[in-house]
Amino acid sequence: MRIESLEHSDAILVEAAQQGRLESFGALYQRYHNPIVALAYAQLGDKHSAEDAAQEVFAIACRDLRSLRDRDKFGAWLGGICRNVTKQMLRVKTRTATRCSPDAVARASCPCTSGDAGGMARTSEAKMASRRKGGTPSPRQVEPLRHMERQEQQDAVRRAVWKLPEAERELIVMRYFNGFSQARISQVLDLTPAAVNGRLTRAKRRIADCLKRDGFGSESWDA
Amino acid sequence: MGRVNDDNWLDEALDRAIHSDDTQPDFEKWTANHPEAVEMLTSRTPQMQRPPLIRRILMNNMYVKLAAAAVIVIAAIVALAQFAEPNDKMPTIGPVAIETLTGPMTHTFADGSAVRLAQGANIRTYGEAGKRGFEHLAGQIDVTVAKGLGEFIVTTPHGEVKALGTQFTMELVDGVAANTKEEVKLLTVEVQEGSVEVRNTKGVKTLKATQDIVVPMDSAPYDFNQDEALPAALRDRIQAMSDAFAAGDPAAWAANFNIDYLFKLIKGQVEYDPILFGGSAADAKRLQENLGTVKDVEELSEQFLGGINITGPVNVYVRAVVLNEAGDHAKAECVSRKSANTMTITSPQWHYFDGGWWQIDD
Repeated sequence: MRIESLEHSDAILVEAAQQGRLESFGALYQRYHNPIVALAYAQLGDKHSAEDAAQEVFAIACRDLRSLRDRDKFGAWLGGICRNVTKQMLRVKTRTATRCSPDAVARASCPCTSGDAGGMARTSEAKMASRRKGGTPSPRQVEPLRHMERQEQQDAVRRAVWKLPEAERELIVMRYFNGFSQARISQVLDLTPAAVNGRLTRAKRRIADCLKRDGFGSESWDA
Repeated sequence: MGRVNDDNWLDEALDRAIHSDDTQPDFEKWTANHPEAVEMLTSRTPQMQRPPLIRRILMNNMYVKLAAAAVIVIAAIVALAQFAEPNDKMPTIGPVAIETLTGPMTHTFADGSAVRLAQGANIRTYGEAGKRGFEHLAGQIDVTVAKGLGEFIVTTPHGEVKALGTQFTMELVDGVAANTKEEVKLLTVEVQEGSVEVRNTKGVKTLKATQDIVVPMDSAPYDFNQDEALPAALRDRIQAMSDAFAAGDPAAWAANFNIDYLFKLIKGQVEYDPILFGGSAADAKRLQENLGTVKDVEELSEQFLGGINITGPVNVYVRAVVLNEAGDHAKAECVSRKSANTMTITSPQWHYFDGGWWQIDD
């Protein structure tokens, strides 16, 4: 049943759901849940919050589905709801952060400067401490150090991604979050496949430049 | 620089940093958590939301289509004529042909200002060249006003919002409260950058960045954070309640209640007092029976938290707060809105005791 449903176009599923067929809405949910989580993650920078946002997005979509006229645009419509929901969540987060600390505002939506960056600072400190104590790391220290370096690299990549303009960040996160097809990305972001390709290339170039500036060029990954 | 697409290292790096396998859709769980939404999808007849049949019949008529085309051409000619005769005193910016726009969409005005309409939102542009702004008819909108070009005025059924180079969000709430069946109509304005003036026949309020305001129907704009009659600690407590609902955070909401007092009440260490408890004597007795076995305040907090049912973000619009003469008790009138179609009227209360303002009723 699920496989059959997945073969239907969005328009057919939307029309059936608009007539009150919950299983059709379920098929749309299965189809778009992960892309919407990815889109929310691109805005919020936190996977748990992104999952919460996706739940709310589908609740709104379920309530308002009958107002959707252009059924082929379900993905883009859902993406629009997602941006509104995440914007509202960020607004609350920023307001709360403002009360706590002005610096927190800047950190509100970047995963690399909230939880993850703390980890990066800790790994750097640990690595330096290790070097201070023993000079060359011992074999027992090598594996943890490699792990730390990988962690730093990943933090650097996330920092570069979250520095991108919103539209490019959305695209990059959707592309690498869970291997979504170009068609699915095009649907949710309401872009043509050519626009997706062009924007993806530009975004990757910016990330590569940013990583090189931070000392994480291609050679860092080869090592 | 070579082609980035050839850089496998970057693909691998991005994959490692962003890839997530642990996100799995669970529709059954989702339906269990959102019975209201499911009910709305499955219970209404599809005809309810269809556009009126008469409209489709009319638009299928060739003469009507030609008439519509003629109206558009005339409107365009009028617009061009207005642009062709610029007035020295009035900048030739802003819309000249009246348009009604429906979200979701983003509309950019001639002066560079922009408005983003959420799903279901409606605006109508002004018909005069040089007049900056528009009419807000329904729903939620985000407005970004181009700076340094004079007043930008958004009119609504509840008053007008005047901005000078700023970014703000407006929403017209229009519905029926599920619990009281009261017809709820109000405007909310939240400023992200700069400042705005919200005005109607009942009053005027100026908002700066991060401030928000509620304009109930036929009432003055109200922002409890600017209500000087309320103690600052009470305003913080009301804001904390609102933020907790907006974040869908039960723990943050529970933190507004005096758990130490509730523990003492359960253990019989203090007498029942309706002013401090907020409920009836029967409610207090039921609480003692149900939670009489808790060992300490921590266990009570856990039990209290477990009984709270806040799922997803809820917007709380505080329409009014009334403080008693003694200045130690406050009651608010709020609209709690979970979605465009789900709202309730609530009357939370706070009392000053044990050295602080505590929420005593939701």
